[in-house]
Amino acid sequence: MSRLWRRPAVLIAITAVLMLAAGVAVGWAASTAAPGNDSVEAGFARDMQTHHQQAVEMAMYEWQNGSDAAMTAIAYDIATSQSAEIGMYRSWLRDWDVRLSSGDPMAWAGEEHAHDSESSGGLMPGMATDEQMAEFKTLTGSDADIMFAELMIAHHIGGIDMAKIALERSDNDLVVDAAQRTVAVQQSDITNLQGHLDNILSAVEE
Amino acid sequence: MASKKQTASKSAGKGSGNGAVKGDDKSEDLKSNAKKSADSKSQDSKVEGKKAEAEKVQAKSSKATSSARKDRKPAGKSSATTTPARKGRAVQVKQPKPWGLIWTFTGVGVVALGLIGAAIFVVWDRSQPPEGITDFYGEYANVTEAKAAISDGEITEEDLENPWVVQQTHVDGEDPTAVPEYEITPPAGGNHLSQWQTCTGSVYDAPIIDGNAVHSLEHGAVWLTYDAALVDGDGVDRLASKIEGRDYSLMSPYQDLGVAVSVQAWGVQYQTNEIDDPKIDEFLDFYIQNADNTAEANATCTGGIATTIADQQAPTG
Repeated sequence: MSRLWRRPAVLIAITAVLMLAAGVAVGWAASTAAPGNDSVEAGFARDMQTHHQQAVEMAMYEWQNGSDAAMTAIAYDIATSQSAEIGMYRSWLRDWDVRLSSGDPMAWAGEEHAHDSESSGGLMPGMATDEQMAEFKTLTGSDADIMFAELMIAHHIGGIDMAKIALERSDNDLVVDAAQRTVAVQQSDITNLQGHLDNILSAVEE
Repeated sequence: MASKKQTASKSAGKGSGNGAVKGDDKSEDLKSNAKKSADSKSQDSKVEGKKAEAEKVQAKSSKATSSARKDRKPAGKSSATTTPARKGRAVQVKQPKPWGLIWTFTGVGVVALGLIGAAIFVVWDRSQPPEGITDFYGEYANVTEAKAAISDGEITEEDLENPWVVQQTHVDGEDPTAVPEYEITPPAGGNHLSQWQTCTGSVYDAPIIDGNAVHSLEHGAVWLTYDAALVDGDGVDRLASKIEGRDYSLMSPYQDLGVAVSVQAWGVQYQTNEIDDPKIDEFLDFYIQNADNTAEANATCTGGIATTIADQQAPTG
């Protein structure tokens, strides 16, 4: 043993190997953890999943019960594309090995937004209340078209806000990409929804 | 002068590639230098500090030192012939144990092993369910494993401790009036009704139909039930605050539950009399949409039945 201490080269080699192994181990833990449970990325993916879920529900109802062809087409588009995105968010969360659910919606969005959902019973920006959803589901025809457009415009505005917060707070490629897409797509959706809504409203007036 | 001494001790510190003999020789130089500088501390305390620094550098990176060795070797040799080195040789007869080295390397080793251990634990711990949960999978960890064992032909459904954990038939398929029966109360999986109960953070103020709630569990929801006889209004509000707005969860009172709170996901259950039991939150966190324990992954909680038993029995016009 005492001879070992006289051979710094051996010691340095052993130490180097151990340090390397430690570095690899920490990197491994970090990579399976990153982004972690409390990260902006995981929070965004979780909340967008919930947010999208309601949009899909609205759009499915409109697709079945609306009457304006342009409006039901938008509804079909939203239901299918947002369902696909929900799958994408889930894949991220599973890949990152983080929880798919959190009791703290919007906590990832920073102090100024963390309580956005508290006054609305845990609802994220733009989401319809249970009462609004229940009312919407009693409507058919152009009544459904009109309320769908109104609810979805508010919903999209909230979704764009969430995406913009994610863009401010994350530089993860996946998240930045998806958030930019959300802003672009939902912005043009709003324009279209508003246009068709105006058409329907003026037709109703005549 | 000071810089020369430092170089000498540095080049003595390593010796890989020079052969064992040379290496030993040089490490003795180091010791002699160490002894020397200790002797002449008052004279040249700067040397001490620099030497300590040099040792740190060695511990940090053997690579950097060995690449630096080539340039410094001549300097080291020449310094070995200067007075301080010869002086050192004269007193090298009995060498103290190099405790500094021993502690440094032991410390570094322990830290490295600790980091490896911690990393393994962190990754392992993340996949562990909270403790104290009753699970009905027997020797299997979750529904995915139980189903895999069956599809691999290792076992049949009947070999499971609770075959219902892999049964997902809509009992009202053939006979619309058929009602599923459950072995445990409240049920935590098994055959169910064709409609699921809406579970988008839904708080129901009256009992709901078991067969609908079990369908929600199949979709990855956690169902929180409470005994209205054991939980007061304030308690109900505190429980509701855990569920409200949380997709893939639902809550309802349960007749004759016999315990304040029972939470269930597919194949697992946890019961407690403490409203604020942190295990309730852990259960929600771990089991909502759990990747390995969702009997029907990617199904939604929206678009289900959103009424209670009382609503459905209420006379309609």
